This record gives sequence, structure tokens and C-alpha cells, in this order.
Amino acid sequence: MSQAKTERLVNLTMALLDSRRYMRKSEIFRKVAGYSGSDETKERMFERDKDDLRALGIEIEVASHDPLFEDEPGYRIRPESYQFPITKFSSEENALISTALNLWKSSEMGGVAKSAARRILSSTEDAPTIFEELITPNEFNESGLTEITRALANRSRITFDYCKNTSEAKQARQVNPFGLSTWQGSWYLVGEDLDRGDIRVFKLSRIVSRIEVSAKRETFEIPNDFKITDYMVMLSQNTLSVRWRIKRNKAHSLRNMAHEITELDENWDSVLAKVESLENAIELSLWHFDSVILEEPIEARNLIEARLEEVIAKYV
Amino acid sequence: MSENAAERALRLLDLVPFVVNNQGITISELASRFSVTREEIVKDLNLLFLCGLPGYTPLELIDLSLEDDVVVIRDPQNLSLPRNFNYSESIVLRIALAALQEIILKSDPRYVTLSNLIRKLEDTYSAEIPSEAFHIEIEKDKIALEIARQALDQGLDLNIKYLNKTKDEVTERRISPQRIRANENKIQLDGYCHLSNDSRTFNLNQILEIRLLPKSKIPEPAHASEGFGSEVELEINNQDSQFFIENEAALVKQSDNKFVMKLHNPQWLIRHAMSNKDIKIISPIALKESLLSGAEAALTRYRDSN
Repeated sequence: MSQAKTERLVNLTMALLDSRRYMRKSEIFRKVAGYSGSDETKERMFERDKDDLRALGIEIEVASHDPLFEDEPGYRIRPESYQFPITKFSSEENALISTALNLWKSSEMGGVAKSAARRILSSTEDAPTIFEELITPNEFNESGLTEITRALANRSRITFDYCKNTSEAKQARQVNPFGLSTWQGSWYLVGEDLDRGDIRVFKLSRIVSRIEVSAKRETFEIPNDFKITDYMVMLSQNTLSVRWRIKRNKAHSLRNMAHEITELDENWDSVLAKVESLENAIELSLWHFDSVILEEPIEARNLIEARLEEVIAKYV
Repeated sequence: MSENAAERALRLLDLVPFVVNNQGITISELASRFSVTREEIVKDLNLLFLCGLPGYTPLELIDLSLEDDVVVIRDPQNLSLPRNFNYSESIVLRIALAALQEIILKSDPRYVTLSNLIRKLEDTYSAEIPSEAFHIEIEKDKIALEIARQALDQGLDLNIKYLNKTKDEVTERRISPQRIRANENKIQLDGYCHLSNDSRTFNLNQILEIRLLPKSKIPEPAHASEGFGSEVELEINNQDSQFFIENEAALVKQSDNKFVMKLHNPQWLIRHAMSNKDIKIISPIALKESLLSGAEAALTRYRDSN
């Protein structure tokens, strides 16, 4: 029975993936192996199959109001959405991905991470390397992450009981989750609190009930410009963005502040970071005068040139 | 929890591109990569024999062979590429890579590869969930402190990667830790450093990587290795500055704003004099000259790169 269903699901996926047009149900029942019985049975089978595949993340498109099909909906799976979009990773990239996914190993997300790893890494010949030295004691075992991740993935509302602090009674909350953050070893959820009509921060360890994920999907949108760090007020307040050009393997302390490093050529990297203030940017750049050029903001760059001129004037 | 038909169908769909990319893989290897038993993999493959595209003639079926324990797929039909991530998986991966980006040293050459990889994946997966919906911070100081404490408790050595801010270099050292001290706003680790064969103090926030090593013998202390250092004369125009406060003990007042100090590392003073406009070097002349040529070279670099 379930063997037959597995076979039918594979055949259905392949057929919908192969079809350039939307396939009508009648066409599916006629062409795809495995659909038998009364119309009603076939109908029920198909609905279940479709839901099962969708629940596991396969996107089945429906075109229900296409005049070509009168009122009968058509279905297809777009190869662009079914297939992994990046086919080749270097062996170093593969190892980084395996190492990263390994951080989840002993958490409740371990299974999801493992299946992701298997697919992304299926182009490697050998089981990929894991950089063991990067697996540090970590905070990946908080409970509730599974539900929140699923809700984020489906844009579904969640409900839970929350205890703001130990002295207060728990309160039921309804939240549209927008993002996740860690800070000082704890996990935080940021989302739209529907009763309060505002975006709020919730500490996962203060959620005192199961997290219920609504079965309805796509019920809200995460704003495109949503930045979780805008709401995590406890994070460091370095606000000035700077761009440095730094000699390869130099200015380690600036590199340690970076949130993005890109290779420019064989000698230089471009480094993006946030610092406290303009003066801070100038001091850091001048401390590393022999290996760093501050490129942005231009205001700080001009001030650095002026400061260098002053130094020269002082010592000539 | 037992596997349902749909989950198994997904594994079948994933087996095809996996074998296509690993033609000739053995059943055992396949079973271990998919974390199921050999029997299950064989059942899966037998089921795949029956799957294909509408029509279901031999031309439309997935063409695979299983001989001598070795699997080959001659025709995967339309399943040659791996299946895409669903959104839960892409979130799990994005969070994990963000965490790795926190853990890995920025000076590590792999950091650049990782940043590029993250961007590549963001481009692909950030449509519904913006790239800045996740923020992962790993407390490296706390990890370092935990490991240092463990070493002290158990009498173990430490291997550290340590950033020297003056020399702008990262060195790897073996340390036999002696004690942990908390000063105003920094935590320091005192210990015997096997690289310099002497006692040293390390700022915890400059320890970039740390791990435990078995205990080792501390050799006889070397003689005071540092030389006397040369004497420099300075003009300091702001005596509330961080530089003045931190070095007050070493500064010998000559007049209002003139001081003399013993200097072990000229580079240290050059960096301060370059980045702090309240400090001026009066002598020696050699130091002034290297400061001047450093500033000239830097200014030229700035102008040339405009």
C-alpha cells in the first residue's frame, strides 16, 4: 500500500516536473501511473499526494483561472524551483557547509540539517571534510526552534504562553514571526505581536508552553527591509559603516570587526565593518596606517589625509 | 517515528541525482550517506526501477543497474539535478552559516570563501525571508574563559592563537596557565608561554582561538630576555587621554608636557603617535624619521587610490 503510494508520488513529481504546460487533473489521472479506482477515489488520492509533497517543500504551481482550461485547475512543478539552483560548490565550500550544518548535530533540528547536507553535498566524491576545530561549544540546542523555523518558512502565525519575568503571570501571545537572533547565549524571536499591534522581542527561554504553528500558510509577509538588529536593542550600538581596503593578512583587529570581507586582488581585501564614531574610524585606520586605506565614509577619509598631513608637518 | 510514504518518496527523488553524481557507488556507502540500512536502500532502488515519465516504456523509465553491490544510473530522466531546499532547510543552513561566520577567524582564508558562499545563498533564498532576519552572535570571550578555567582546574595546557595589536600579528602559542585576573574592563590570563619561554599576560579578548592540550613541563626560566630598551622623549598635550592614563607609571615628567619613557617596541609608539594627535615624539631622531616616512607613504597610498 505505502510502497504503491511512494511510487505514485515519485511518478507524479516527475510528470509535473516534465510538463511544460499545466496538467489538468483528468490528464494526470490518465497519464501518471498509480491513479486508479473511482473518480472520487482518484480525486482524494491526488489531493492527499499534492498536500504531502507540498508539506515536504516541493512547490506545486496551480493555474486555476487560465481561460485555456476553462475552470479546471492545472498543475505543474517548475524545474527552476524544484532543482537546486547552484550546482557546483568547491570542496572548501562543501566543507564549510558540512561544518556549519554540523553545528545543529545534537539539536532538535539535526534531522533537517542532515537531509539538507546530503543534497547540497551530493556532488562530492567523498564524504566531505568537517573542520572540527570550528565546532565550539554552542547554543544550538534551545527548544522551540523547530516550530519557529517551520512558521517562518511557511509564514504561519504562532501562538504560545509567555512569561515576561518570573513575577508576572503568563500571557497568551499570537505572533507573526519575522526573524531569529542570539545574544549572550540565548535565542530571541522577533515578530509582530498581533494583540499589541507592534513588533516585539521574545526570549525563547521564557516561552512556557508548546509553540503552536497555525496550519494556514502565507498569512503574512516579512517586510523586505526588515532588519532584526533594529529591534535587538541589547546589541552593540556601532552604527557608522566603514569600508577599508586592507592588505592581505594584515590589520587583524579590523578584520575581526568585519561583517564582510571580499578579495579585491592578490594583495588587497575590501572589508566592511561598523564602528562607534568618525573619530573611532580615524584612529583605527591610522593605527594600521601601514596596511589599511579607509575608503568610506569619504568624510573620514578626508580627515585621515588631513591628519597624515599634520603628522608630516610636525616632523619635517 | 516511522517514515511515511511521502518522506520515502523524497529519499527516492534524492537518490537519483546522488547516484548520478557518484556513479558506481556501493550499496553500503549509499546506505551510510542516506543514514538508512542496506536493505532499505536496496528496496528503494528496486522501487525506482518502476518509476519514470508518463508512457512508462523502458525509454521513459529511470534506467539504473545494481550489479556486484555497485549502483549505476544510465538514464535519470529528469532527475539529474539535486532537489532544492525547502524553506526550513534553507533557514537552518542560513543560521548555521551565520554562526560559522561568527566562529571562524576573520583573518582565516576560509572566511572570504564563507562570506562569498553566504552571499551566493542569500541571493537564492532571501526572497521570502530577508537576509537580515537572522542575527547570530557567539560570545567568544565566554568560550575562551570557560576553556581557560577548565585548563586551570584540571592542570592542563592551552593552545591559543593570540593577536598582538602592536605587531599586528597572530601567533600560536602553548601556554601553561597560572591564573585568571579580572581588571577594570578586561579579563587577563597569566601563564608560562612556551613560545617566548617566559611568563606572559594575555588579554582574553585578544585570544582568537583556544583549545586544551595535555599538561607539559615548564622549563627553567630564561634570564631576563628583554633588553633595557631605548629612551624616548615625548610631548603629551592631553593628560586625560587614554594613552596617558594607561602609561602614567612609565612616564617620567620633564616639564609641563614633556615626558621621558623607556621603550621596548618602537612600533608601539609609532602607532600611538600616528593615531593620537596629542602625542609628539621629540627624540630620538630615528623614531621621528620612521614616523615621518610612514605617514608619507600612507598619504601617498591614500592619494594614489583616489
